[in-house]
Amino acid sequence: MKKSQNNDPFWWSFFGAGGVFSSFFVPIHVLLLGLALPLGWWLWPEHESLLELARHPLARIYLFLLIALSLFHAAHRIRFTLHDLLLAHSVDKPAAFACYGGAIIGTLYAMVTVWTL
Amino acid sequence: MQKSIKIEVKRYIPEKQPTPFYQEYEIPLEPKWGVLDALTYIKDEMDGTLSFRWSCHMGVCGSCGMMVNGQPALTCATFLEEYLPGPIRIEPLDHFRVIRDLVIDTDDFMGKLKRVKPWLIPVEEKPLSEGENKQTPAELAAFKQYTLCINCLLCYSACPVVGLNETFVGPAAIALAQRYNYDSRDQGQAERHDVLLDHGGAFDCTLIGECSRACPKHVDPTGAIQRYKADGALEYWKRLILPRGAASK
Amino acid sequence: MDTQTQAPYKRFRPERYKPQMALSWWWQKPTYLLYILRELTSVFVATYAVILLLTLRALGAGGEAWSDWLTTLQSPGMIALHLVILLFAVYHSLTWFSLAPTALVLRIKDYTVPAKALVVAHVVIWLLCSIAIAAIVLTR
Ligand code: SF4
Ligand code: FES
Repeated sequence: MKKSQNNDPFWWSFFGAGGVFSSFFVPIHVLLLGLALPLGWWLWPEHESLLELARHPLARIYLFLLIALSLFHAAHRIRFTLHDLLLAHSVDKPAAFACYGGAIIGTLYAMVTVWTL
Repeated sequence: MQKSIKIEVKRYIPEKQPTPFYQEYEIPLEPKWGVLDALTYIKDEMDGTLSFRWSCHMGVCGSCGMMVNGQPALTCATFLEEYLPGPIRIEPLDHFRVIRDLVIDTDDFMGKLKRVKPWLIPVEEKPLSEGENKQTPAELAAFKQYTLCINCLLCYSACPVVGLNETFVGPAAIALAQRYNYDSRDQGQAERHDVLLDHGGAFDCTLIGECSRACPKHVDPTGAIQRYKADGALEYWKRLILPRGAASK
Repeated sequence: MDTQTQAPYKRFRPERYKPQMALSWWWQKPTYLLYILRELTSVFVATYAVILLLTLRALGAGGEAWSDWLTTLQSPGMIALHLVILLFAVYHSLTWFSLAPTALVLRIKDYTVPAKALVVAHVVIWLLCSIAIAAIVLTR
C-alpha cells in the first residue's frame, strides 16, 4: 500500500459535500434575499431581528458551512472546467492554485465574519 | 423506395499520405443491412484496400466499434435504415491512435486495463480439495453488471476526459476494477486503490456520463466510477488519518 | 500514470495517426453542452457565496449599512444578476439530485431502492428544506 501522490480525492470530498449543501440550500437564499426581499414580495423582518436570527449558534454554523462548502465545491468544478475548455494541461496547476486558494481565503473570511457577527 | 445509400469513410493510409481523408462509396441499400455489412460489401465488391475489424457479427466480441455519424457504435448492431436517406459517415473510434483506416491501436487501453488488475486477488489460494468458492445470488448481483463488458471501447470514444487527458485509465477499466472490488472472493481492493486514487485514476473523471449512454451492454461505467469515488475518498481519508496499515489491506 | 506494459509495435507499420480534440468539442453534442452548462453553475454558486458573505457583513455592520445594502440589492443590475444566479442554482440542484443515485446505492436486504425513488426523495427533501428556511426567516 502506498500513500497517494494525488490530492484530488481530498478536494473531491469537499466538492461533494459542497455540492450537497449548495444544491439543497442555495436556491432558497437567492430567492429570499436576492428577489423576494428587494422586490418587496413580503413584509420583511427588521434588521435587529434578522441579526438576532443570524447570531443563533446553529445559524452561525449553518451560514459558515453554506459559504465555505459552496466555495470549495465551486473551486473544484471551475478548476476542471478550465481544463475542459482550454484543453491545456499547463493551466491546471495555476488554476488549482487560484481556485483552491480563493476558496481557502473565502473560508477564512467567512469564519471571521460569522464569528464577529 | 431508396435504392442506394452513400457511405463516407475516413481513411488513413500512412504509406500514401500522412493525414486521413474521406472517401465516398455509393452502395446498394439492402433491407436489414448493418453498417458492418455495408463495409463488407465495399471491401468485397468495390475497394479491397479498406481495412476494418470485426469478428462475431452479433454484438458480443466488441471488435467492430466505430464512429457512425459522430456516435460510437457497434457497426454490426447498427442498421443502415436508421440513417436514411444518408449519407453515413464512418470514422475510426475517437481518441485512439489509428493504425490504418478504421483500425485503431488498442495497446494503450490494454496497458491501462492491466494496471487495475482485473482478476481475482485472494489473500491466499484455496486448495482445490476444499471445493468451489460459493457465492450467494446477492453476492453475484453485487458485481454481475460489470462482468458484461465486452471491451468494445465505445465508452472511451464517448468520453471527452479520455480525449483531454491521455493518462486517464478510462471508463471500462474502472468498471472492470469494480467488477473485482465488489466480488466476495476478491481481496485486491488495496492494490486497485493504489492505481485508482492516483493521477489518471477515477478522480480525473468529471461525471459527464456519456460512457454509460454509449455502452451497448448497459455496464454503466458512470455508476461504477461514481461508486468508486465514494469508496476511494473514504480510503484516501483513512490512509491520511489512520496509522499506516490500518486502512484496508 | 505509466501504462506501458510492452514495447510499442515498430516493425512494419509503426505510423499512427492521433486525432486532436477540437477546442469546440463541448459544442458538438447536446449532452456535452448540457454538461458544460452544469459545470458553469459553479461560477454562479461561488458568486452567490460571495454575495451572501457581503450580506452578512452588511447585516453585522449596523442598521444604516444594512439599508444601504438593501438599496444596492434593489438596483436592476442586482435583480437581474440574482435571476440568472437562481436559474443556474436550480439547474445545479436538479442535476445534482438526478446524478446522486450514480454514487449512492441503497440496499435494504435484497431490495435495491430504484434510482428514480432516490431522485424524488432528494427533490422532496430539497423543497421541505427550502420551505423551512423561508419560514424561519420570514416569521421573524
Ligand atoms: S463498458 Fe460498455 S462501452 Fe465500455 S468497453 Fe465495456 S461494453 Fe464497451
Ligand atoms: S462484430 Fe463482434 S461486436 Fe460487432
